[in-house]
Order: sequence, then C-alpha cells, then structure tokens
Amino acid sequence: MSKIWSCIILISIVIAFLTGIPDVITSSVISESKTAVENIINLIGMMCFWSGIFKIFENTSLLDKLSNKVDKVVMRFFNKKELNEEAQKNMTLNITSNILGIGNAATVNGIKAIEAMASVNKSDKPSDNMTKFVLINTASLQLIPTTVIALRSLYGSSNPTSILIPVWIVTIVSLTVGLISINILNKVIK
Amino acid sequence: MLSYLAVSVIPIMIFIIIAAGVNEKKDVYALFIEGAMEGLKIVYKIFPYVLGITVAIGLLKNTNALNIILSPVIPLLNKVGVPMDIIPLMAFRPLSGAASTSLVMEIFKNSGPDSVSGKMASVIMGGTETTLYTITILFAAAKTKKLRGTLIAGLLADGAAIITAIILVNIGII
Repeated sequence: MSKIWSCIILISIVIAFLTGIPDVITSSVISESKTAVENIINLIGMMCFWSGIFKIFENTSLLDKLSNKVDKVVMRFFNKKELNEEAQKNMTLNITSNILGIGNAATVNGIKAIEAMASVNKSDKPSDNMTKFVLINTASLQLIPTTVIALRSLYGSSNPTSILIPVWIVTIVSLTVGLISINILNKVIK
Repeated sequence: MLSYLAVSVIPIMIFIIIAAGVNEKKDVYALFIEGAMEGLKIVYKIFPYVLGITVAIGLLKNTNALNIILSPVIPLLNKVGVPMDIIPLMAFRPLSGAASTSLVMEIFKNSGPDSVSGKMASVIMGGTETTLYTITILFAAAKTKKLRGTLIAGLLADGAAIITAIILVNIGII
C-alpha cells in the first residue's frame, strides 16, 4: 500500500511540473481533503444507522436462518477452521448486504469481519482467508444496480433496466477471474 | 416493476429486522444504539485512510497524469472497438467512485444512456466496484499494510469485467 500510495503522489507531482501546472497540486490537496471530509460526513449517518439496524439483526434468530443458507455457498471458498464465529457471522451479513445493495451496511459488516479474521491471524501479512474476503468485496455482488438504473432514467433512457443481465454476466466473469487469480497469487506471494 | 422492487428492498429489510427483534422480545432500541456507536467508531478509525486515498487519487485526476500515461495506448483501444469517452472511465473505475460516477454522467449527457458508450458505461459501472477504496478500507480495519495479491487480483477482475462489458455491448446483447 505504501509503495502504491507514494507512487501515485510522486508521479502526479512530477507530471504537474512537466506540464507546467504545479499550482494544481496545492489546490488539489486543499480541495480533495475537503472532499474526503465531506464524503465521510455523508457516510457517518448511514453507517451508524445500518450498524444499529444490523446489531438488532445479529441478535435475532434471522441471522442463523440466513447463515445456514449463505454458508453453504460462501464458506466453501474459505478455510473454515481459521474462522471464528464472529468472523463467520459478519461475513454472512457483509455478503447479504452486498447482494441487497446496501453499501454502507456492507462496509460496516465487512470491517467487523476482517477485524475478527485479523485477531486470529498471527502473521503481519493478511491470511489467505482475508485476501479472498477482500477480493469478493471488490466485486460488485449487488443484484440490482440501483444507482446506475436511477442515473439512466434521469438522463432519459428508454429502458433503464436493460443493463441487468449484462451486469450479472460481468459480475460473474469478474468474480471468477478474481477468485482464480487470488488463489494463484496466494500461492506465489506468501 | 423491477424498479419498484429495487426501492422496496430497504424498507422491507428494516421492517423485517425490527419486527423480528420485537417478536423475540429483544431490547431493540438499546441494540440499535449499541450498534450505531460501533458504526461511529468505525468511521473514526477509517477516516485517515479515506483522506490518504482521496487526496492521492485527486492528484492523479486533477494533474491529468493518468490520461498522459495512457495516451500511447488510446489509438490501439479505439481500433478494438472501445469508444474514446469510455477510456477515462476504464482507468478511473477501480480508483475512485466519485470520479467514475461523474464520468458516467458526462457520457450520459453527451451521448445519451442508450448510445453504445452509454450502455458500456452503465454495464461497467453496475458490474464493478471501487476496488482500491474497498481494499484500503478493509485492510485499514485489519491493520495490515501488506496487500499480498489482492490489488493485482482485484485489478485483473476489473479488467476482465470491463472487457466483458465492452464485448457484450459490441455484439449487441443490449
């Protein structure tokens, strides 16, 4: 992460000087820091709300019913021996909220899941389970891409939902490629 | 019909969860407050990471660095059926959600959502996630600075997604 982050910033600064716009760097730092604050402020309310709602969810029998179903499909990708109850519970919630398209809830549950996985991970590097879990989260599992559909109808599309099946095909392709790659890379990069 | 279903998901979820809690005689309100407090702590913990990544990607975007780096391959991409206005979206989709949303809106405004580029943009946007942001936030929570293969695998997956989206539109599936 450190290398990627420094590379992005250093390359941007060099290019800004080469194209004669060094002032853009300063103004961008100011405006983008403000954007980060605005984004997080926009997030706080929804993240806390969903975190609260899902706390209720976790304490009802709904979770067990859901886990039984999700576990059969999802847990086969993971090494179940290394996952404690807390991790499994939050992984189920994370994947469910991803599929339903509640992004903020998925973020909260995802963070709790990976914290639980990290607490039993002795190495300073992420475990195989952690890399696979993060990878699944980088794929868009959302069944109905509501934001894009809303944007399409806003700009006058004659059939805003026509993209659904292609979107599902794309998701399956990217998830397959991602999981195959991470399984290979986990063996190569220890 | 489908859009009605989509807007009903959240209200129904909230209803079912609270109703189940009440039905099982849980202290629903106390649980909500406890969970909301956890949410607040999470936001507090991830902010520095969000700041770091937002500023870095902002610099890349505002200095036009990405377009300059990509400029040698643009003619090649055009030749294989990638419209000009999709190229910036391809580059920014894994890096920034806000930047890619505004690129999609620009494409919709200029070419329309039912044009070839409009369809490609829709499928790319709907079928992929902001990979770098997701990785940043989840590894921030895990307090690990090593990524192992995740970024490479995530970007390969995005690449496959984008290529699939372009092919699907070019062969006229939508």
